[in-house]
Amino acid sequence: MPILGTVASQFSSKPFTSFESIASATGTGSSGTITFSSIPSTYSHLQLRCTARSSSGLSTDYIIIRLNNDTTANYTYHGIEGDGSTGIGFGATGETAGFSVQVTGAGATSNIMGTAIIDISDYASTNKNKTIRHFGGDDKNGSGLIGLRSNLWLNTSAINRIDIISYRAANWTTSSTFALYGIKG
Amino acid sequence: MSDTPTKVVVDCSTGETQIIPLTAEEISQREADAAAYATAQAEREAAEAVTAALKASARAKLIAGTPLTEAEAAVLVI
Repeated sequence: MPILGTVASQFSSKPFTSFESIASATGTGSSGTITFSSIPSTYSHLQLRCTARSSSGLSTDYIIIRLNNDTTANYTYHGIEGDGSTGIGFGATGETAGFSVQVTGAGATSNIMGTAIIDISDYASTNKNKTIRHFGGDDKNGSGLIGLRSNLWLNTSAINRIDIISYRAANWTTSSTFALYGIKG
Repeated sequence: MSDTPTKVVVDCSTGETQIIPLTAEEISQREADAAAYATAQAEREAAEAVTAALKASARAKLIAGTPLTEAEAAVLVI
């Protein structure tokens, strides 16, 4: 049993391996879909961290995610959003993809990005429908939106593929980055 | 130069990244996704407009001391 006062030094000598990078991708300017395929099933949970801006002519876009290339109406969402003065809540069932948070489009001031942190719990389970939590939004120096989402994917298959898609059928800019992490434990 | 949309595919088992043109089916799905977004956004904005109008009406009636409708009361009292 560790003696109090020596715990920190004991931890510092061990590698911190509960949160690992699986893969990452960068936007090309001509692709509106980023696909992570052949995801290993060796972690407990997955996390996506996205810094995103699309070529949409509007100032905003949204991320949607699709699991195992399932395009059927197996997704639901609930969400809340706030723009600094007004808050709204909404939800829907029978969707063909998971509805994530707002990011920026090309209509926004240059070099302002949106961000999304997306947690996929128990992704390798073969007997549970999958729950996804999204947190993110954009801040455009005077406007913007923060959002929280919950998705349910009505499918018990282990997730081995994730597509990150521009909801406006636009392309992710070359300044956009998408990183997939595995969480152990 | 082709205008065919592409996707970036990262194979997590090998680390290999490829840029692949979308298939006709994937392009159709992309267009369907965009149409679904437009519909959902329009519905959300319409609902927000109705709520905003009810709130404005309810506030005006409160100030004037006139009775609120049930819908107006519902947007003020949780």
